[in-house]
Amino acid sequence: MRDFEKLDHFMREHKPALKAPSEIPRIGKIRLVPWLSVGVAAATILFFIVSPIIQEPLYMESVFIAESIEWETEEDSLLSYYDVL
Amino acid sequence: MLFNKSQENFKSLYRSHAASLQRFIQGMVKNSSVAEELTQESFLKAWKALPQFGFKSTLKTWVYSVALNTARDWLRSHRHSIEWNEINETIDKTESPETRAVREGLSQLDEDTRALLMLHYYDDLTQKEMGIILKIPEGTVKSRLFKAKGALKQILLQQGFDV
Repeated sequence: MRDFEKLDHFMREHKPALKAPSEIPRIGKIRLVPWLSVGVAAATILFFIVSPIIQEPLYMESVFIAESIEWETEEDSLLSYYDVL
Repeated sequence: MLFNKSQENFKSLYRSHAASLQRFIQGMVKNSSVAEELTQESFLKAWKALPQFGFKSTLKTWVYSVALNTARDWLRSHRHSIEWNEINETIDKTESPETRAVREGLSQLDEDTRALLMLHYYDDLTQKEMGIILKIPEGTVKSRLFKAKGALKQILLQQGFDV
């Protein structure tokens, strides 16, 4: 082992750096990140399912309103102008 | 007292061994984020399996054995999906050429040799303790250590370091 005295010294002198250990883990912890991804995915799917259902009555309502308006065309306006004259 | 599975006992076990254990795992898997996760996993495993700890060894060697198995399992399951150079993100830009040579030298060795040298140089374990962790007789630890040092010395000599 005398052959390795220099190596031993070199190895202990040049210890690779270490990242500090993280916080103490909680026993029985729930891993948050995977659950978060599942939550985001579920919310996205739900949005695409629910969104057309909510939007359809709103669209239909706007169609009804549009149909109920008596539009004053340019022709109507001119006729009423000559009537006044 | 250790068998009293209280949060406080777990915290004291973690505080006393987490840093050295994380260094050891980082040396094995060569990735700081993975090492961090595996350190926590090892502690949780060791804690859950504490009733099986039969006082045949110290608590330190017990936790190291669990960590070694956890790191080996991870390496086995990721063997085909990783490239050492890709995950070697622990490189510190300020590290000296000597430290880099040590890190790279260790990474060129196989995982058992690397584990042996990491335990010997950085964890201040006796050869008896190393034998318990690696599940080999003390005499085998001595002969493997001699061989491992020889291999590492060759690598460092090739890189121009006078060791």
